[in-house]
Amino acid sequence: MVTFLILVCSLLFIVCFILCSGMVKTNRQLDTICDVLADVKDGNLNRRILAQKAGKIREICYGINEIVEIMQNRIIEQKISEQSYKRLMTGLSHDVKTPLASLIGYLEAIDGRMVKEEKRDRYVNIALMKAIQLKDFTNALFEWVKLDAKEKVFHFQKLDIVELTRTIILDWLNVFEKKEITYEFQIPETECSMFLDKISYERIINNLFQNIVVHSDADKMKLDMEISDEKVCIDITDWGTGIEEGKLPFIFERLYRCDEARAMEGNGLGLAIVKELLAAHHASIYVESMEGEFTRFKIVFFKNSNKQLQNE
Amino acid sequence: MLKCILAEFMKVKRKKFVLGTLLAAWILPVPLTIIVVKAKLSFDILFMFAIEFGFFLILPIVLGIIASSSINVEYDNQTFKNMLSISISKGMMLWAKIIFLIFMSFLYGIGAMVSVIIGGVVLGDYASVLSKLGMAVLLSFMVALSILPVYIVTVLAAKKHIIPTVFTIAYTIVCFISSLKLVRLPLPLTTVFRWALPHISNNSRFINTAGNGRISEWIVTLPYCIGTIVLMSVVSIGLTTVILNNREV
Amino acid sequence: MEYLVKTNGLTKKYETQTVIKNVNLHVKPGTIYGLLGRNGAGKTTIMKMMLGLTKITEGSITLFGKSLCDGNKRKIYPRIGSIIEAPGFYPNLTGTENLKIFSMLRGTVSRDEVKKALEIVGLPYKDKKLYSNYSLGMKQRLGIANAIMHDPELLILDEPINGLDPIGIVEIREFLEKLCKERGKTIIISSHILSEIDLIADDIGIINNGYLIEESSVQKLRDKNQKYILFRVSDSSRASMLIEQKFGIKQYKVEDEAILKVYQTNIVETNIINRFLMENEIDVFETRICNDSLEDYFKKITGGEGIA
Repeated sequence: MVTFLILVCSLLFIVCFILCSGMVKTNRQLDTICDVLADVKDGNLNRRILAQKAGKIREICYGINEIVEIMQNRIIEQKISEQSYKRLMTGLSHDVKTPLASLIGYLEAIDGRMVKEEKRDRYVNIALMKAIQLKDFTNALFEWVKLDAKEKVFHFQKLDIVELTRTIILDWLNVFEKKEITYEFQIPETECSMFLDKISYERIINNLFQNIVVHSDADKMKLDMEISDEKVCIDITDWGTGIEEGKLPFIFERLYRCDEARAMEGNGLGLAIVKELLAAHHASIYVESMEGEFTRFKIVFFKNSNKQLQNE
Repeated sequence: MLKCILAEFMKVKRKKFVLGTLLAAWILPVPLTIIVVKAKLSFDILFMFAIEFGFFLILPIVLGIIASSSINVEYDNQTFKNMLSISISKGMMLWAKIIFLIFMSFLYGIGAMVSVIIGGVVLGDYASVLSKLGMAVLLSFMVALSILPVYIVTVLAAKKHIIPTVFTIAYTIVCFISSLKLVRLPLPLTTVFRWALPHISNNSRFINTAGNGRISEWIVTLPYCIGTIVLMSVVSIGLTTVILNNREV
Repeated sequence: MEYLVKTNGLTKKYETQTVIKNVNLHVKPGTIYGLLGRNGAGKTTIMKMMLGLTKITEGSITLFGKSLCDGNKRKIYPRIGSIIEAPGFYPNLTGTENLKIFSMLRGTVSRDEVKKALEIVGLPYKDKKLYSNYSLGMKQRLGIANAIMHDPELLILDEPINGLDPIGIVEIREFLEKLCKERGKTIIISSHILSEIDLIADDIGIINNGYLIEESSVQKLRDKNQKYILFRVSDSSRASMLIEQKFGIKQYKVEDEAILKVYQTNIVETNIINRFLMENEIDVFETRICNDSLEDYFKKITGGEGIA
């Protein structure tokens, strides 16, 4: 009888002990949570709760940690975006100020009659070119801003991408020949209907060709179009100066120019606009390059995602 | 604390020594049973053999090696500093290792006993299974506590692995021989044996405890046994903690 | 909080010698603090004292604005991640199992913190390789993973790039910079490799023989660091003699047959020196204005050969 009682007592004791220690642990954990929350409220977003006990309390801890981390991430994103906005502004102001200053310089020279008759015509020509440059840049900038704010209106129609590409290419044959660039075009014979915004698509191809003509110093270029069941791939390759490996990840960013010295022609918005236009078509662009050898831009249209454009 | 004990179990993963001896403890009684059958001895003899050799010779050695290696693994791999940075004190680690040792002792002891009983069942000769199991539990606990002095030697030996192993073996053998020779050594292992003897050899025809005067003088009561073990345990744990804390990590 | 970590008269004595003598460190929150010193100068001991791995003989340490004492260690240490000396892990377990043990003991910050940490350092998750088979670089990475797993506010790293290959060093450097600049975490890092510290640290503390002999921001050091003009010439000894005679420049150093460093930069303009040398038939191939590197500075104030 006695042993039985002793056994029962010790069992009860053990149960009590376990329950008590459980309560103490929970209390301690709740204290920690309170401490951390107070610290986070004060602005220290780096605090995390270390969850000890398994169970609902742990889920609460994880939840709080996640929320704090999300808050922190948002602030970081905001900081980054502010910084890149600042950079954009500085870059833009430079891009406007430089040609404008140059333009004014030439016009002042003409106005002040400091220029001899023969040179005057030439100066007027240059001034006109610079003005046009400025206009082009401003247009591109507005286009970019609209794209960025997702305000641009696209008119998607069902078009034959093959035929459209052929048409665009025809316009460029002359230019390539004048610049002594040998060209090769591999375009399938079959039709392929996709939902495209005609102007945007022309813009994309024109932009890439423009880059080849103006920036790449290439003597040879090639356009490959491959159509499969799931996608349409367009490879545009030039064998020219190529792009430095370190700069490759950044070329699609606004205002990026590979050759900082050549501020004259083109502007850094071109590739960024191309990327945004393609994104609107649910397509992607990749770049591959070896400095001094070649540059290849690869555009991929996904047929499935493209079909969805019909509904938009 | 529970986490620390769980961690001790996780640390033992893939340690062949532990797995090997555990398996041996669970399986060896089977051939032993067969031998006993061949020799036409009773189940009780088998039981006594198992206890004497298993619990008082092999178990302490195995436990001693596990104990010393659990301390040495922290020194060798410099994991103490990781633990201390998590606010797990060396004292808490020691307690976790001791409780782990006791658990392991249970695993060995109960497993071996179950094996013996199965052997007995096969033999068709078994009796008072529950009390035997109870005895196994109790003995496992006591032997584990008796082996605690090994910790003192381990922390003193400062990373030399051989010393605690040698100590364990020497300690066990000395106690074993002294129990055979009925010497009154105050060591805990011997004390346990002195208490356990009458309980494990009830129907033995070989040892008649009541009649034999010398043996009955040698036997100790439960309180005496518990007292010695507790004393030794407290001293061991205390000393080990002090030495551990004083030694730089 | 002005300083996240502050030590006050920190001293550590062993029986026969005093290894850390009256060190007063100041680490500002959200910065990277580089602890520099030769082997055995005491950097690791200071870090150990901060983490409670070694008893403090005299002085005190203040972490997160609270003085370190046994009572509040439990609340402070979860906010710190560290790697001290060689990483300590169990060789019979895989990397993931090791991290799981430590994360269980420490407490977890998110459901998959082990996986995320391993991803950051570039180690595979739940693979079969045992720690004993890890290369030195992998061991170090696992140590770093253990330190960052619980997203601590303060990192105390003792030679974290030890054993990493050059790409690994860059990866860790960029990662640490991101942690500090983006998330505002504080990092105390000790290293032998002065050039790495130079790249990454905001403030520097130089330990020599247990004394903190200098503590300042990297920017101030750079400004203070002696500026010199480096001339690469055809005959540096003759060049040095000529300019001493002509301009009275006495503070210069001839490094080898071609390099001449002139430390008095304000006596005469560089172009005049160039022209003078050329007129005297000494070819000048290169002229540069330089600062002493952190390594040169370190050598100077520790009066030694730099990091051995």
